[in-house]
Amino acid sequence: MLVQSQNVRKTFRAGRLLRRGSGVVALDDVSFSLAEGESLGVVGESGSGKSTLLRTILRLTPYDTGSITFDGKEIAAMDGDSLRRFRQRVQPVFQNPYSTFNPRFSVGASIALGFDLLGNVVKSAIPGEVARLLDDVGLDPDLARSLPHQLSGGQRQRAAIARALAVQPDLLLLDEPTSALDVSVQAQVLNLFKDLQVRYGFSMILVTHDLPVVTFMCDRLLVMKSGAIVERGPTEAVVRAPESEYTRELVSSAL
Amino acid sequence: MTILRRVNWRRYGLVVATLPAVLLVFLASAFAPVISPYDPYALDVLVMLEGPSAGHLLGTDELGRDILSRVIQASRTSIVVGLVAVLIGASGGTLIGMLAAWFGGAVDAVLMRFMDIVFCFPAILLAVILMANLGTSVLNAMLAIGIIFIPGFARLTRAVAQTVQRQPFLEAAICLGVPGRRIVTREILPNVIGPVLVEAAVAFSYAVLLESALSFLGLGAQPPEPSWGNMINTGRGFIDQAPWISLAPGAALFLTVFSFNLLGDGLRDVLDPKLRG
Repeated sequence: MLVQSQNVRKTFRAGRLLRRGSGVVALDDVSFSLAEGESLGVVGESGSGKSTLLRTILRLTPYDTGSITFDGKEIAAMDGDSLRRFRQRVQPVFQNPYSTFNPRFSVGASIALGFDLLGNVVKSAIPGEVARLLDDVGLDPDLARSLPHQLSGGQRQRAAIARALAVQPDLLLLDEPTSALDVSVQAQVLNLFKDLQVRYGFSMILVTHDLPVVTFMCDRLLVMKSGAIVERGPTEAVVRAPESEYTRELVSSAL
Repeated sequence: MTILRRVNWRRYGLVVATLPAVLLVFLASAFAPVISPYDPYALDVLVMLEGPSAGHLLGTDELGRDILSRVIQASRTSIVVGLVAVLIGASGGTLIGMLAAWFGGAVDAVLMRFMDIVFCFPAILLAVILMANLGTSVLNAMLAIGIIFIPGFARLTRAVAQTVQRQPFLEAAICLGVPGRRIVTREILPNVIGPVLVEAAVAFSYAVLLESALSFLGLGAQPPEPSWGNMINTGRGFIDQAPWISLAPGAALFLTVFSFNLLGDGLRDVLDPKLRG
């Protein structure tokens, strides 16, 4: 198993002065696993804890109890070299393409950073590698010199994918990667993910509120509500015969 | 003329417009001994309180000293005090603000509450307290004004750094495994520098104004050393017979403060990546 999550809980406590003791349960006893090469979809309404789940796997948000392992190692216990290796094997693509790049650096410089950190390419070869990546994600390599604000939302999201791929990750975590894009661009970006997965061979966890996106992209599906997983299974089976009331609502509203 | 059309005026217009005034102030203070028509300290009782004339373009003061030469000489004090005070305030404030934002929690709370305390004192009062303990001199004026600027820069830096730290691009950098020190210097600092520079230009004009206020109160440059503040103060006694004694340094002060304020706005346009061509 590439990722294994067991009984993970996360509660966000409200301000310490007001409403002492109360809090929002973002993750409630979440257990799941992801095999190598698999695409897992996580569906749920906003506030269901699906983004928190992604952030805990990225080690951006610490969880309270339970365990998450990556390649057999507990991620909360990683530090130094093991953390650095973990960082490069797991890459996010965020929802908002407008703030995903530092506005002060060219897109090419931001993508080159990954090669620089990985240190597997000699310095003089990095621009060529950046150009190759941009070409792989369907962008004109000349865009490397552009500043982020000069690119369209779809172009920026493609560039964000290129940045993530620069460190040759084993796992891509996608947080609503297309929900800020035009409908016509959404399909292109989703197809790009599928193509790239075949070529680069990474696993994927895709978080979205959009059921059709998951049915298009993912083999397996988790449905979350109020921090808990209410349904799971192969995407087709779940969509055809949803067991929980909540999933039935999701399916009927998506059709 | 084609070069004029190729300039991005939306981005550089304001800075270019303020440049003559800013250059005038800096060049005047740099070459003060060369361009002054008279020795700013030379007394000439024969021409006491004389109005502007061909001999003395801005007139003379109660001791017959040339006002123009003294205004030029005084610009040196103002510029040096402004630069040093802003350097103290900007470097101290940026460091404290970055530390507070990066470490957060208790470090943030302690540093910023301390800044709040410093911020509580009216600028002039804090300067007066410092001068009372350290003695009145231009050096202490710089120190006092610089310390007063630290909380402002610290708050600005902390606010900008905190905003940057919440941006997806910063989390993307963390997820790439960029080391902490490099995140601070590469991702956060470049985004903080712009607002700090803008603030520095405005703080510079405020420092010049504060130095004049302190000198006006007799806490800055000591006579016979001219400063715009103590010249205005001297002129107060002769405002009916010889208004130029106060008006000339007042106009110099106005020009400097006004142009550096505009320079601050102009720098904001230059540093805004969204106005790049």
